[in-house]
Amino acid sequence: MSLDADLLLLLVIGIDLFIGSTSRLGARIRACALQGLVLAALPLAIQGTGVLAEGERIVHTVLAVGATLILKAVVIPIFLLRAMRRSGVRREADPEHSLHLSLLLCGVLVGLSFWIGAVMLPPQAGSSPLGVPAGLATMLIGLFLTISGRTELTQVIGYMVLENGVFVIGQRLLGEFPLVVELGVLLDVLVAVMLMAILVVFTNRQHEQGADVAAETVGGGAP
Amino acid sequence: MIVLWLLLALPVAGGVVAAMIPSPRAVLLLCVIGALAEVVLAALVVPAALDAPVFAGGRQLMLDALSAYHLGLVVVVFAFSSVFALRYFGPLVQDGTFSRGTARRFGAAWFGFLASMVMVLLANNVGLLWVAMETTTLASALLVCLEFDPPSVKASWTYMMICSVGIALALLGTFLLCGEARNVTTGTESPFLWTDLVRAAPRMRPGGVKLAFLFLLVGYGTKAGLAPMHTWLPDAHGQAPTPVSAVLSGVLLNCAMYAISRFVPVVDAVTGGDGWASTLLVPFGLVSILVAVAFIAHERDLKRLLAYCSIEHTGIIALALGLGAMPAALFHTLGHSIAKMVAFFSVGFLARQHGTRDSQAISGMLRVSPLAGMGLLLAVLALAGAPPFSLFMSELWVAIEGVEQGHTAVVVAFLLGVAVIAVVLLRPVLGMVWRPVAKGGRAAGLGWIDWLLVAAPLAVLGLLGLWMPALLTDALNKAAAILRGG
Repeated sequence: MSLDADLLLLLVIGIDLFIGSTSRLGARIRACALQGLVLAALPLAIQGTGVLAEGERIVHTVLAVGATLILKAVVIPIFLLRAMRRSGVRREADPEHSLHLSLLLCGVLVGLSFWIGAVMLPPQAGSSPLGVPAGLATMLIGLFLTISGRTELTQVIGYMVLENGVFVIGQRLLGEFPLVVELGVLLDVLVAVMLMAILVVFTNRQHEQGADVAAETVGGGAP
Repeated sequence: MIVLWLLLALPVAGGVVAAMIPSPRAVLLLCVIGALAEVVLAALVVPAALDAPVFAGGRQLMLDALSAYHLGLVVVVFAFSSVFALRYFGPLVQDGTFSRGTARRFGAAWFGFLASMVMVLLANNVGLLWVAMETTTLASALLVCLEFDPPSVKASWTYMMICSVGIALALLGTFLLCGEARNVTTGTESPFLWTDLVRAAPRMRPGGVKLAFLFLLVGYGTKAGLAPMHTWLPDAHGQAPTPVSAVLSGVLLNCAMYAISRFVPVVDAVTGGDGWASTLLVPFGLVSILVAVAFIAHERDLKRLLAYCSIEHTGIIALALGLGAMPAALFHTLGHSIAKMVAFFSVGFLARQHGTRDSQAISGMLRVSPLAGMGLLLAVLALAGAPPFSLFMSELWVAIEGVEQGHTAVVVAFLLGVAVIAVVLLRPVLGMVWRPVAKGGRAAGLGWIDWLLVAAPLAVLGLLGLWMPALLTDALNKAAAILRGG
């Protein structure tokens, strides 16, 4: 079995564009899960599947790939889908800009990433030329979602996408991370998304009960 | 050394135990005992670390003079705040507002917060440093929305979102830096270990490292509350329960500044000490001070007032680092942490006694609540940079260093900003003192512990403004030497 890193990175960009062009939160979360899956496969593609045959590095690779796969492609998406159902918000509420414009903007961001990538970090021999542009594009689109998102869930998805982008760039620059760092980062992302999801559900329940979140006067709340 | 592991293991174990204890009061007591034990552990290792770096876990963990200095500050502020938490939440336990569930959540997150901050300071691996920094965000976000009321949930959400996104940029910066380092490290050197990064820095390409530092500065700067990335700070510090605000303002901001300062010697080594890092730090510092002026002048909520004041002081510390006044930056960090801690304690007591945090609604502060009133007045005087408190000395120190380095214009802007802040900060507080007593103030029921919490740190601050113990001078110089790349 051989995996082509370029193909995977193109897939990452494609998923970014899809997330930017749909307003259905469920579709966005599932696309995010798919991106997690691609990300998990990326080290195998970059280092070659032959790494699995090497005795000493197999533990490292299996743990890193497995943890990414389980957390980013399964656990976090399931958690976000549950939060979506429980909060009752399934669509991005009246977006400020049309989806066509959003897609166009994402396209521009991708173009920009290729340009920046070529200027700032020229590709090195032996590594995919798509690594940095794909990562940058993912980061920028994640940031765009976080900033422009009208619903809290979109902001969380944007954060996930941003984090994925950072990882793609890191993978390209470093090949592999020390295991403690890789697992630590994954664990942090997991807890962050879970906490965010809990707050999303809580906030939306409050909205339903008609509580006015913004009505906080000076000196109010807990002393 | 085993003590480094114990420093991490103790709060982690404390958090696990706290999550299982049924009685809210026992949880609060456990927090006090745990924090005091952490002080003892730190006292065991800090003196050794000031002389030579202490390593553990295959050099993944390290305590050198710089981190030892900050560690001392973290454990002391945490210990004081834990005692304050006991006094603050105690009455709430009796009337049932501080329930069993809240207590467990508080205990676990409080210890988790301590553990993550200690981890920030102990990490020699810059990847681990990032992981720990993000963990501090998560633990403290839980503490901010402890009471799960809508305003605090909203504040917690903003805090977590902005800081997580900001810190994600710092992760990119970390990867960029390590990617640069990977091209030049040889043999047993690891591109992720700070000690190796400093050693390999002269061989790295300046362009790549500068780009990395930019992301690190913006990323960790968000967490440190540097303007214009400070927007989350007043909400989070204002809405958090007061013991939490004290720790957030008192030491969490330091930890973020510490993370930035760790990378300054690396950049200086790469750029050959041409002061590139300071051309970034100085504007960020000045802008933070100016932004603080604008907001402090219009703020009535005392806790938010103190939060904006933190932005000012983070700005001063960044400015001092930029001007190369390393010992002054560290000394200012100490003064700010202690003064801000006392200020929050006092506001906590005051708000309890007056039933409000609105500076316009509180009157006859010294009459109704002598201890808290005097505590707040003196702490704010200290924060405003009045002599004899140590913050006056450190600000003077920064100004003198700045002029000696030839940055007269910067120093003038800095002093102007600090002077205006002193006025706008003192105005509401003096108003609370002079306004005649209105009805409704509840008489103080404060014990000797409360006096100790407020008076002892203030006495230390006043003393440090007049006399520097040789021990502290020594620690400051050793920590500053690391920042200078020595």
